[in-house]
Amino acid sequence: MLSLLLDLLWQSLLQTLEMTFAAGAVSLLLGLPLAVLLVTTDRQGIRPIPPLNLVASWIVNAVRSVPFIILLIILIPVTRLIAGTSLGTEAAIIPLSIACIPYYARIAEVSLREVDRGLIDAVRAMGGSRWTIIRHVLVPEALPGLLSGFTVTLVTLIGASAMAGAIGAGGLGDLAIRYGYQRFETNVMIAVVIVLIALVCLIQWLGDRLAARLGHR
Amino acid sequence: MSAPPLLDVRGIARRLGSHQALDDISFSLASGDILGIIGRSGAGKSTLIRCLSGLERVDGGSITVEGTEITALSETALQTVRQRIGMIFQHFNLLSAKTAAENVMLPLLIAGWPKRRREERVAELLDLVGLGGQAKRYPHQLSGGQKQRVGIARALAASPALLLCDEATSALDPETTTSILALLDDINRRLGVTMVLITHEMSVIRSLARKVIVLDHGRIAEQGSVAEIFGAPRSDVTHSLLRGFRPELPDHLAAALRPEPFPGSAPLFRIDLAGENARGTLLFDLAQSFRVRPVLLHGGLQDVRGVAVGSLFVALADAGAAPVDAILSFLLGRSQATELLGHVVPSA
Ligand SMILES: Nc1ncnc2c1ncn2[C@@H]1O[C@H](COP(=O)(O)OP(=O)(O)OP(=O)(O)O)[C@@H](O)[C@H]1O
Ligand SMILES: [Mg+2]
Repeated sequence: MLSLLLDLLWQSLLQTLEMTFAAGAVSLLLGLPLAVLLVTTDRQGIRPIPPLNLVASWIVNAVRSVPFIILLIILIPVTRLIAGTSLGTEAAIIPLSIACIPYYARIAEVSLREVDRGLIDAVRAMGGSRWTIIRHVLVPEALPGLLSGFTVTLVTLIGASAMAGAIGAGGLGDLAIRYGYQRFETNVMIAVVIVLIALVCLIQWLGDRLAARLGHR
Repeated sequence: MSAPPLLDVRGIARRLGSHQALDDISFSLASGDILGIIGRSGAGKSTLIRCLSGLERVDGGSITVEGTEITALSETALQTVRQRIGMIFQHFNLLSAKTAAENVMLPLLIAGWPKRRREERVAELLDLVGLGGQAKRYPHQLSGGQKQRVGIARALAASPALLLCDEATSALDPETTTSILALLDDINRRLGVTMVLITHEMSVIRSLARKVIVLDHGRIAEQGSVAEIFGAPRSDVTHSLLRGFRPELPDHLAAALRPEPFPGSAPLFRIDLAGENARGTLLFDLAQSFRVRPVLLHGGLQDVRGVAVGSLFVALADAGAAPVDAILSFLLGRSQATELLGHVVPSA
């Protein structure tokens, strides 16, 4: 009985980790450039393109305003198109990523905007190109904030992946609903919650330590 | 004729919001020269210096750096010009995620230097500013003075022809300020770098600048050599900016001053001197020519970049018969400026 529970927990944990980190990686890879776009094309940015800025901002707002559970359902055709199926852990990575790209983009945008304008001016004054400014000023100077923001995104993803269980994604959330809620196996529910708490604490701790190490202030 | 100026500014104007931040600014600067820009807070000094490197656009006029007119250049074309211009900031503006050496290296990276030469140059520059041992430190591990030294090394990295300093020493204590000024002076002498410095501190101007521009409400109130400006300021702004740096009539003497002569009084002159006329037999000649007794009531001379500059407050006793107008024109011919302040009892 116990070994069965442990086995279930282990499988579900792996699925949760797969969803969280895969979607997290995609959010970072696409969300950060989106954040850079939002900051640099702004009226006060280093490459003002107000129409592009407005469109990007609208898209981000639109996706962010839809509750995740609804986004999951709306995105079923898209998920099917890309993954071939709308069911399972891998398929869930697609809606999770789409929801989290704009989420992380907004968080990263805040950190990028906090970079002192004087630093941008200093590098402009030495003849730096816009790319140099992004590469040597914006991103490195905002790095601790970008990292903390990524930690927040990962923790949010753990929660969102539980909801993805609703479309058969598996994972810890799914386990808790199937055993704990539908079959009244309270001990499974408690075990899942404990694992989730431990997981979130671990990610937060690692993120904080890394951010502290990278911050030269 | 002489070589073309390194920097030539013709009639530039800049509006910020509803505020005319710069209005019809013209001046030029020869290679190797040091120009100080002073003015009250909000006069437009920072705006002006930002225009010189194209960080701020102008609404009209022209700016020519080393023969290149920059006001019409695109942001990309400006990048090449800016590699010839170094800039130092009040708050240093060092990249916190880079070490001292990496900060200094960035302009070289931008200029496309190969790795080996970059590293040699960085070591050379850190030695020049006296930070040979601090290469691997991050800005937060350095003192204000050390940060500014990194800032100077960074500004000089790509051997610019022009160095712009916006309040380079305002965040530093007096002792550190002195050492940074000595460093800048040394750099100007050894490397012949042309400099434009903005400052609130007149002592900085006095010890470093050769030419001075006084800005007031976006316009040039006056400009001249540092000795001229310190010796005989003409505008009210300059007078008020230089308060404390020029001899002033002590309060008790100023209070005793009367506009008209009275029994036993003597006319009191303020005589502004600079250079040649500050060292000579002026008072003796005055006594000889007009048969008066010059009484020195107050005054002082100081050294401004090797030029003696100062003011004397002289009352002329026994001047009863002497023509004040003739005395005044005699003094005007022998000084930077002379002013009849009023009449006092000379022995008082
Ligand atoms: N965006 C803006 N809109 C309106 N006015 C502005 C704007 N930016 C700057 N100004 C004004 O332009 C003037 C010039 O500013 P600038 O920073 O050049 O002054 P400064 O001489 O460097 O002053 P300080 O000695 O305080 O540094 C100031 O009066 C300032 O209030
Ligand atoms: Mg200023």
